[in-house]
Amino acid sequence: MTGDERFDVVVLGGGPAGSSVATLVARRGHSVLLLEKERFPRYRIGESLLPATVHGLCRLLEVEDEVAGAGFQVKRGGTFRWGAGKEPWNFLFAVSPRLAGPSSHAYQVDRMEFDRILLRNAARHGVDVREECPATGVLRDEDGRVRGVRYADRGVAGTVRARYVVDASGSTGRLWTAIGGSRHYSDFFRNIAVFGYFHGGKRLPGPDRGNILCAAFDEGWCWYIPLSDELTSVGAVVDHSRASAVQADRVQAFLDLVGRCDIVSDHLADATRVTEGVHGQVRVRKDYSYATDRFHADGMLLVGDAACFVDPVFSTGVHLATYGALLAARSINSVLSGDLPEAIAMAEFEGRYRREYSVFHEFLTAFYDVQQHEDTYFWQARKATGIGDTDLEAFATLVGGMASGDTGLAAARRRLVTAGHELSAGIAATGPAQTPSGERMATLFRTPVVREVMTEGSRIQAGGVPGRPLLPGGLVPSADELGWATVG
Amino acid sequence: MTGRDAVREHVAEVLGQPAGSLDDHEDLLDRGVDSIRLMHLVERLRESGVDAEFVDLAETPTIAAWADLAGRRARA
Ligand SMILES: Cc1cc2nc3c(=O)[nH]c(=O)nc-3n(C[C@H](O)[C@H](O)[C@H](O)COP(=O)(O)OP(=O)(O)OC[C@H]3O[C@@H](n4cnc5c(N)ncnc54)[C@H](O)[C@@H]3O)c2cc1C
Repeated sequence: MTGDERFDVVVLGGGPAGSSVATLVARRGHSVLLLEKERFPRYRIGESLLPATVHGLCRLLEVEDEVAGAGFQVKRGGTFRWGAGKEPWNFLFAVSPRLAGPSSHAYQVDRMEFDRILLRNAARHGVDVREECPATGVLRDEDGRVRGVRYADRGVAGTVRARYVVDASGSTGRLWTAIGGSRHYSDFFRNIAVFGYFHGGKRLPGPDRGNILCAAFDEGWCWYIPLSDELTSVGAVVDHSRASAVQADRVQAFLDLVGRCDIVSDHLADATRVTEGVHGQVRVRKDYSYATDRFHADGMLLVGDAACFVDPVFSTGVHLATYGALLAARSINSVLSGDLPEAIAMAEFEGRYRREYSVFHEFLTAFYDVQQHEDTYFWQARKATGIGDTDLEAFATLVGGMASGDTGLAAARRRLVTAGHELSAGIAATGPAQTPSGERMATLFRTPVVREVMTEGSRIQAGGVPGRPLLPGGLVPSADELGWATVG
Repeated sequence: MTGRDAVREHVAEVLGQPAGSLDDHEDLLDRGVDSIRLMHLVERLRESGVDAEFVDLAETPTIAAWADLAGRRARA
């Protein structure tokens, strides 16, 4: 009986990417089924968000007010003890202290709550949400096109057919292999993260109390995210070669590493580690920076961590995931409504998504390059001058239009090294946190690699502005922002 | 179309206030220009052929400064 079920779109996974694409397709009146393996609320890392997500994307999801009212910690930016200077500096979302408006803050969120809000919102928009229903494989027609999925509903196997299948099952899903591509894991960002939670950690002074703090130390860096007045999320990121040592005794490894990052251990001087409940575990994640070499094929699209992820230091994960979801929804909506041929709509999805990924990749490479700690292995291995050829090739391919062979690689390396130098100069000119110059972001925002990384996020927030194509000869968002339109 | 009058028209529309009520030298942040409105202005100026940048407008939020900038950044 279930074999007869049909939907316009089936979405696999109910994280931010899955809930977003499902809601945005349902908003155009199409039928959407969302299959989620777990029962919500469920734990997830990825707690520090950007304005583009909580305002831009959440506005399109019609959930902005609910998110604003959920009591999440307000974040005006990030504080970094990172780079040449000893003093922490700020990357604030507002270009100057007086420029208010939604684009000048984001939130630190408990993902159990944030993801549940987005999933419930999908259901409210008419998405058929089924929890504890893992997808187990794809169905194809005679031509090999993906036409649906198999799934398990409390142990009972079912099948469902759809015009499009969107895989948003995160980094642990296996269904992305149905796309027929492979995944490139970055060597440069090949880190391992070990993380847990504390009660009673100190807060940064004044308006920075809600900021994420990221601090470099000899062997890597730590994050310190204030989730509420009481609770702080803390993580240490080190080279992947330490994986077995870390995994042998996670709690001890975690406490040791955090203890070696002075600014973070100072903040934790009077704090106690949470040892019970969902925040009581010390967790480990590794090899999380990768991109799949195609994001769509024959009736199937990948979004969120199922498609790609690159390094968490700048809190870009949920933005990239939900940006991919927005693009996928626009492309699917444009085909389902008959406005655009599939090939053109999908090329826009894939082209824009890869562009955003490569922009983040370049920015994050520059960000690591900025740190001066050249006498330790971790930081030596993360200078742009030393990036390996396979990573450079992957980057050159992403950026597109770069020459192939040695000259292409040399050009890609030069570009990344230059981006690092420009970013260093921007940070130096901005100066330490809470100084007159350190409150003004104009210099940093003008740095080319920063400008690039903010372009699309700002446009999504601005909404409704007549856009120009982002890609040469490409499409622009339709008036309702839920599809694509041609120009001219 | 990038003189002070043109810029004033854009600002007036984005703010929903009469153009005549806007002084060329007053600080537009005091008149309700926020980050989103500024993004709209950037897009409008670009539509009219000016390579406007968000940070430049944000740094000197007056009609006079924006008109100067528009004059310098106008595409041929
Ligand atoms: C160490 C670390 C720190 C990070 N910090 C940040 C940060 O500060 N800010 C930030 O924005 N991002 C951060 N991220 C990234 C962030 O965690 C992810 O990018 C984000 O969660 C991706 O969302 P998603 O919807 O793609 O996947 P997920 O949130 O992982 O959701 C995928 C969903 O799919 C479900 N699923 C899996 N398999 C199946 C199946 N077979 N069938 C049906 N459902 C399935 C899962 O149960 C899950 O609910 C961090 C990542 C790491 C590794």
